[in-house]
Amino acid sequence: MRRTVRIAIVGQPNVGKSTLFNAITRGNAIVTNWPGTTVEKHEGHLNYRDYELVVIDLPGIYGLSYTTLEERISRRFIVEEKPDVVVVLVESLNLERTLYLAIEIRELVGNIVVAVTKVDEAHSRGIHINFDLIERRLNTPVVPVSALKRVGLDRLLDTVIRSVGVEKPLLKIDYGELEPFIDSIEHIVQGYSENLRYPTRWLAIKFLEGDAEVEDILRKVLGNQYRELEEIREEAKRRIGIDLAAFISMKRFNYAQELVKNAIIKHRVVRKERIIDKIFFNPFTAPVISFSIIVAIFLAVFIVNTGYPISDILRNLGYSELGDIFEEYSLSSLVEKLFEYIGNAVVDTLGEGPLTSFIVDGVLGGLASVLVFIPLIAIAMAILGVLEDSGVLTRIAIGIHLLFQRIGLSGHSLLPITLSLGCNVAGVMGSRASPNPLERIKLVILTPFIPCQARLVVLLAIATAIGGFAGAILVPLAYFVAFSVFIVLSYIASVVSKRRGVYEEAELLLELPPLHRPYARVVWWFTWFYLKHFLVKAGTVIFSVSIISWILLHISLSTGYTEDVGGSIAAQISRFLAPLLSPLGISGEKAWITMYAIIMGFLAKELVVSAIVTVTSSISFEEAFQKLGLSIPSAIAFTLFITLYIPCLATLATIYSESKSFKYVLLSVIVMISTAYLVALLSYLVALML
Amino acid sequence: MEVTSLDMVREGSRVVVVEVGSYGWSRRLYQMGIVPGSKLEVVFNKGVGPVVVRVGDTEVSIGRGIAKKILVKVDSS
Repeated sequence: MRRTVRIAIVGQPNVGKSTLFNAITRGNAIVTNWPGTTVEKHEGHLNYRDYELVVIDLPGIYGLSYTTLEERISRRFIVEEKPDVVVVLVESLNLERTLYLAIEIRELVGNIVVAVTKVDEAHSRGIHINFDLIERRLNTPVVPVSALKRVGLDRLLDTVIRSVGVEKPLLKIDYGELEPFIDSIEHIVQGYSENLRYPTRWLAIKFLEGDAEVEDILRKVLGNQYRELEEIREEAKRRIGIDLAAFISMKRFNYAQELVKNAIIKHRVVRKERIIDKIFFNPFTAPVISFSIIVAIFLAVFIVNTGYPISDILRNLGYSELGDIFEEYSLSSLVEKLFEYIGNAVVDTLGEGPLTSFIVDGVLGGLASVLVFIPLIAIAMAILGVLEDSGVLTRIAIGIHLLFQRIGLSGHSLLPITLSLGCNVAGVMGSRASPNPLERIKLVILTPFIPCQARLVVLLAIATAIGGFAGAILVPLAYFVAFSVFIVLSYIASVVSKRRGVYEEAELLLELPPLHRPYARVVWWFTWFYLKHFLVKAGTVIFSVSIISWILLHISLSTGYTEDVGGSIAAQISRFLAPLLSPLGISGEKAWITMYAIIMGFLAKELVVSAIVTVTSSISFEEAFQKLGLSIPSAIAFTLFITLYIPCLATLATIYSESKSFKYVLLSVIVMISTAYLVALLSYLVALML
Repeated sequence: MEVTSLDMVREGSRVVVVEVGSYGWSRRLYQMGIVPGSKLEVVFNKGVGPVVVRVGDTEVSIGRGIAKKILVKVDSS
């Protein structure tokens, strides 16, 4: 029988925690959420020597205060779940600052191992650390590691195993003038210690810091005597004269300074001219360069995926053949061709019939809709991963912060907005990047307005079908309208919340990581993280939706299986809802087909194209679109409606999993449908006048 | 020495933090090493946009709204 050892890994952001976690678990982690939250919990299992190690990755935190959800999760886990060993990561490039967390945890528990990360990089920067000295001073094992070079990992695990069951006395920092107050609080609290899970001195210190959770615990356990604690704290405030939390943090930093004194030698490496930073912090160049980089990335991704806009530009210049080649060899059309080929092969072997139709249109069609996005998302994420790991993304976020602030968002929302251009599922997930809960919710609701790649595919198809001037401006128009809607609604949301007094200025507080060459492995992890989520979330939804839509399309309530789409359940629903489209000039016998495409688009946006083609039994989308008989104003209104109207089912599922609230899912649906309808109606009326 | 808010400090100056202010962001600032008494070097301050300071070996970009509430005095030592 192997003995199980449970290891919790904690560290401040940017110290290389996920790198170490991935290096130890070799990327085999189970991802779940922390109970009752949307914060992800990563857990890895591995066999090491005679042990089964369970490695739990706690969220990145700066300290153990109660202010953020991540901090509350971490400290509750450490105290209540009692991992065998807590590994605290400390960064060698930043020893003093990152030791702060280790010190806080060392005050709380006695079974920790400190891992000092990025030692290879420290070495090359002329930083030398006397690890033994720090180990002695902190009375805690200290292990230098470099996760990227896989140095020190075995030593770390061996040290962890040796530390199992070793409880060292808790760290006692001298809080100076505050000590008598800590003592008297501890004295009172000690009388109740059997009802308290936390160490009494730690509770006393946290109480003085004004920790809301600790206050609650003590209030409950102490009853009437709680008043005495409050009096002691008031007295302490008068004596110390500054915010007690600030005073306590100060003392911890002093302790950190003492810890590293004479234990670290830095050869001053000459700092390079910071040309890049100069560009990103100049108020004039920063927004321009940040904006341009994002646009450039997405143009590149668009071109690889659809050939657009190069294909269009070439055609307009008179090189229509060259333009066609760009479109033909784009990723989306290549995947389409592959599945067409497989589909034909299936038809050849099985012959026509319900089963063939189910396999080709249902299963293969669904698979194709998922697969077509994989290379695209992988490319976009890899580029973003490079920017993220090299430290450039943080600078872009800072550079663009000024622009975003005007619409009530902060630079933290750069990532979700950018991800949304690829896929709204990723965008909604990326809203976690904002530390401000209000901003996070705003992003969850509003980023689905940003056209994703699926919508680009639909837009391009319609643009080609319409042709002429209207066709040429359709795609830029749709993007312009979508972004305008996003900006206006975001602005309105901030004005409304300001009026209601819940508004908090969209501010930015970000650690600036040093610029460096990106590591391929880290970029891969970043890419894989989002790709995996897309495959699991969007993949399952899109795939099952294709199956369901096949059933709706091929089953008639009266006759069972039917080849005639016009008689299917889907057609009946669409006919019922079609009159809603008449204000947009879409009426008559064929109006239900447009409605049907809209319904399919809710399931997954790219289905709009195939829906129209199948129902009209056409060979090409161009032909199919002609058959709908839409006037140009109606076609424009339809296009804008499709762009804005509703997040697809996969995005709605993600909105739910990120907000854990049906209210927000409903809000998102209502906001999007009404906005889309309004915009479509307006554009129809405007287009009529032109 | 005169006390001013961090957003008013010129680029390149070294300052000592006098007060961080008690509001939403203060705990995070404390944890990042920005507490009363800590020494900062103002790396970038362009009059608009975030103020970038160096604390120990890290650089932190602080939104102007937050910087306005951090009181500092210029370090003469």
